[in-house]
Amino acid sequence: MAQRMVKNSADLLSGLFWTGVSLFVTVESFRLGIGTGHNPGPGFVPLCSAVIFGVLGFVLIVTNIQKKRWERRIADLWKHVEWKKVVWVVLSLFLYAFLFSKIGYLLATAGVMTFLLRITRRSKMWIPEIAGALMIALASYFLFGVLMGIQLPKGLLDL
Amino acid sequence: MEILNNLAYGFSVGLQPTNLLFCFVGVLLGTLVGVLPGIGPVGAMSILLPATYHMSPVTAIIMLAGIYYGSMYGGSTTSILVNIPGEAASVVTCLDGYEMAKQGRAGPALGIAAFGSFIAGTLGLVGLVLFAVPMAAFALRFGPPEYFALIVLGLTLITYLSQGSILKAIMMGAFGITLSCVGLDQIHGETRFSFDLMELWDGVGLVPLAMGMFGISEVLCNIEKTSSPEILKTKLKDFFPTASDWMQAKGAIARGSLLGFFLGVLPGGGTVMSSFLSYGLEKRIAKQPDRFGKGAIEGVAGPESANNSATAGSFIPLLTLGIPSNISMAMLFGALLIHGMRPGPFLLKDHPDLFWGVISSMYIGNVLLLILNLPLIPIWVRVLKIPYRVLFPLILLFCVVGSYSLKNSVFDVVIMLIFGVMGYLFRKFQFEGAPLMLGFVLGPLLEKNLRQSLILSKGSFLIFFTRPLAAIGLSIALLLFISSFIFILGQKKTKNLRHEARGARQ
Repeated sequence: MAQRMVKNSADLLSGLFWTGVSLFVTVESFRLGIGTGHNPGPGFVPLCSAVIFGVLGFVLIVTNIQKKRWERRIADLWKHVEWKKVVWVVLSLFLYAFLFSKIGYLLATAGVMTFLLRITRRSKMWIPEIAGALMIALASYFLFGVLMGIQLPKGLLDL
Repeated sequence: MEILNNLAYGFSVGLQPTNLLFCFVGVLLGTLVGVLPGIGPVGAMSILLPATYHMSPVTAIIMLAGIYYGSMYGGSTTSILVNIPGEAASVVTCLDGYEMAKQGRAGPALGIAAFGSFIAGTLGLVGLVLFAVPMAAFALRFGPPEYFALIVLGLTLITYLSQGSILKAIMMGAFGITLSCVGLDQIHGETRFSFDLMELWDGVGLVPLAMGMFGISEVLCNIEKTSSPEILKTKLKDFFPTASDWMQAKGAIARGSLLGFFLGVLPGGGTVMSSFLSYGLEKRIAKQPDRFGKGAIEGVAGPESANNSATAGSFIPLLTLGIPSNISMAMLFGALLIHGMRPGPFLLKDHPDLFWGVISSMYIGNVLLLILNLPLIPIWVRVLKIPYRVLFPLILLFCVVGSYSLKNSVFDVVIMLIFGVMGYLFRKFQFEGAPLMLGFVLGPLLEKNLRQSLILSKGSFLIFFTRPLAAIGLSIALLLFISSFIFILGQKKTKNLRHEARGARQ
């Protein structure tokens, strides 16, 4: 029976990624200057390391293209796992970083903690999460801002 | 006699109230981190590294080292009670430890793990004291070519001994070296790979990178799991092993201590490999190997002794040569640099308080761990019951604040998050983070020693082969590199032959 050449092997994608990164680093290294043996330039060591992971990335591509059957597909990596939670957590963390200095530590922390505590619970009540988030925000502010003296952003509350 | 004088000096440093307090804090946090499956010692060390900025270097290293070897004690608790390793070096303890717990012998399992760890940790420290000083004296003969060769050998060994694909480990190590080049080139004054961002002129920070790769990515991998672990419902009693338990375990403890110590010295060896090899050794030499996997006490005593002894051994290359042998040592290496200390053979001469103070604090820490661990087990059991959905937001918060506090910069937080996502994807695609971190930490040293060597030799690469120590180091590295490819090709050939045989049968 003929094999479908489905190009979604995880290692094939990895190989493409590393080869691409290697090409970028190689071009940049030449731009920076390789120098001479007597005086290696700033691009010398990056070039050497880029060649290593670029060549090996190419080896990954070639060895996977030659395969008759695909052992690991990219979709299989996220089968039977709650990947949407990961996406939501990552997005909320980037939003937290953005809001951190804009609205201040306390408000940003209370908001994101509410969301993170909520994301793994399936109930209609929000009060436990809001209460927990407020406690975490205040306790952590005391620990980091007061006891450890870290200068947390004041933001809207000016605290 | 000189060693005893130095140890006495070390204890005078280690027993200072501040150092004693932070040793206690370190081992307690380490045990907690070892108990909790969601975060390992590297993640904890990276999160707490900013907190050490206001401490003296000695106190900072004492606390961070305490986290490292404390986590070895804590990891066995979760392995035995939940069948989930608290950290990687306790994976093997699950096999027999959990079986012992199911047979109502959780107490003796936990007890032999704690006592074995203490004995092995102490023996490991004796080895550290005996080997460190002559090693530091020998390392004074090293010049830039020798250091370059040693770093190449260390990186090669780490990738060769990695648990997953060697090819992927080499790629990660090389990428780590590339990442270490980001920022201002110290010699030419040019910015490299900074994308015109002023924040990247200082390069990628060690703390955001480590927190992202090991803290954030670990959390992301854990929250996508659909099941949560359950603690075995068993009565915890009789933590002191019986005379019969000691008779069975004593050989395993002794062998584990020796094996762990020497593997800990080896770059890429460390606690994980030593625990696996110890288990394999005990099973191989046992009179009744079929007892293993069914509650054999040697299966707990050996690996737990080996991983503790390895922690002591792993300090030798860091303190004497300035080369970290594993990822936790890389974090300590970074901490020493942040505190203005240069690890290497001059550390003993220039900072004897740090050298002997850390060693003595490890003795003190081992005693504290033995005293704390067994009585506190009921507390650790309660800690294990904290749902992960409550724990992971706290871990993320610590990571964010930790990154921010370095320079009061949101940019570092963003870098940490980017590497967190990358670390998660690397894990999914089976790329290990440890070679990347080691390449990142050793990259600047590698470049500096390469350049200095080429200046010495007026541009000739032959300097690496005309200096005997450098030649030996590079030759071994080359042999390992070539043999790993032969191994990979051999595996592929075997796989292809199996497929052909299966195809013929069909």
